[in-house]
Amino acid sequence: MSNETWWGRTSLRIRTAQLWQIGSLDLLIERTSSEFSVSWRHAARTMSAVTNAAITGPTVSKRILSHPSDAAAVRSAPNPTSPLSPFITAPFQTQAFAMHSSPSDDLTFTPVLPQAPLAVYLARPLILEPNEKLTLGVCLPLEIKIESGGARVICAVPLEPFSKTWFGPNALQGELAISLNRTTVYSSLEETQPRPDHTRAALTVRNGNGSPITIDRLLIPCSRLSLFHSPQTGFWTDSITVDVKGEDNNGFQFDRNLPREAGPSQFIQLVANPRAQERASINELALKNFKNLFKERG
Amino acid sequence: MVFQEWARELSQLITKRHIINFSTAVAILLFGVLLARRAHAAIGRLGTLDHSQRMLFQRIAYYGLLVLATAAALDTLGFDLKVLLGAAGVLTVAIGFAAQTSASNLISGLFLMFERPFVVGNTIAVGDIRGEVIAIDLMSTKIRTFNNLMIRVPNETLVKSNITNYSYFPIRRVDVEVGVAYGSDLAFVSELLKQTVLAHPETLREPAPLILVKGLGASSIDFTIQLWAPTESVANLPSELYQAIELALKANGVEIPFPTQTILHRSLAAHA
Repeated sequence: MSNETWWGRTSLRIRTAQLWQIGSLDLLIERTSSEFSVSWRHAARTMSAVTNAAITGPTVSKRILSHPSDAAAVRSAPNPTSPLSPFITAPFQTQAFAMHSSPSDDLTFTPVLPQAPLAVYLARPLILEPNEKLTLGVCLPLEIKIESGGARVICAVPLEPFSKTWFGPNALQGELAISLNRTTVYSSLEETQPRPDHTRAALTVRNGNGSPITIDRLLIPCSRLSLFHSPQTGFWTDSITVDVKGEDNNGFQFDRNLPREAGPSQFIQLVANPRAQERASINELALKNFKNLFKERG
Repeated sequence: MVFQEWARELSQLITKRHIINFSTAVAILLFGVLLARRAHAAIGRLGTLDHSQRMLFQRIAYYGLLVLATAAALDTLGFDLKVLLGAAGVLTVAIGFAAQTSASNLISGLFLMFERPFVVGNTIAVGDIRGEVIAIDLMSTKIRTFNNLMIRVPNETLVKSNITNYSYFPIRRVDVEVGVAYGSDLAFVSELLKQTVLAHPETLREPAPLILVKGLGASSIDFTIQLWAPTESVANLPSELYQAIELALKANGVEIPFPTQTILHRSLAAHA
């Protein structure tokens, strides 16, 4: 892993720590003989760093903390403010993982899409006539999946802070989703910019209704998308097609044929498979429950 | 001699048929117990049921199969089940009269399990009791209050009472109230409050927060902020928002006034 990129393989020896600063993310990983401790927060940076992040993507820096007191000093420093507001502090969130079976020194950072669905909002509502279709460019946030020894997933940490939102016609119907505090939908794919902390996708909306529909927001099931990377054009996900057939009757299709903006296919590699598999069918569930009747306890 | 006579009489009474019937009855009983245990374990593995329903169906299946197996075994041995059923009916009526409260709780428990106004883990309020449901049993429901007391509420009471379930829906509205000094720019304060609450990661962007002027108070112009949050975040959110709001108002020169009272002495007023 070079100093400019944040994903790949790194090494962390026992009784050392690493502090990564990737855009607004502070990621502190500490290792003892039997556990990994992962702490993270999203902190506001100075104006120059924020401006830089907005234009070219996050700045990446890495510090090796070889003495235990160095990591303690990072933790005990006053909490910075959140990048979302100067009036909200951003303390570290910490998760410790027991690794008694002598973990290796290797740590792997893999980019993945979030588990939660993403709500994206159009700058202005668009009316789509019957049997018409529209292709937009969307930017989706990424998370860092941290693995030890290339096999054991420790956790996934979001690269940039997001807000929570409710996606549905009212407070009774709908689902919880995440949304970013920046523009994520563009009228065409050409308008999206490659950044090392987000991925891009072509989002096609087809109106299968008999009447015009107004589109002002869309819900993207991130956990069902694969993630690809091209050295020239950055991260890409499956092309998404939403068939609007009526209220609560939207069909999603995911196409692994990436748009031409992704560049030549020979340079594109699959980075991560979808985090969620398709739900088991009713028949599969019934068969599983039937088999349970004849399964021994324990 | 007596023993030999007794053995001869017994051998005349116990025929081969009796031995076969007895063995069959024992086999039916053993099979019934085995089947009941299997059914109990299989229902325990069903992921589609919650804890209370699983427990109920396990008991129904286990004891139902045991009763059926016992009845089949008795039938094989030649017992007249009509007499037994008649006796059981009389016994049931007697027990029913003696245990009306228990029966009422039992039936209420069944209603609660099927109606499901709450499940284990929900935060509910019944009358003055507020806490987390830790068990829904056939006779009673156990609630752990926030100061860690266990309260047993009879199911009959729950069926008759108004229950507030704080965990039923995934999102809830939170109301935060704040007062600012007279003379403040209300449009600016409204926008500042909106941006401050929206910046908190647990405040939902949709449904959008509403900033309302609640009234003109004795010392302040009072705002109510109606915002939405995931249900699990509602407990801690107001405290964090009040801290952020106080900082935001202070940083922007908006005063949160202390309650003030003007005391006018009658003698001084006369001099004036």
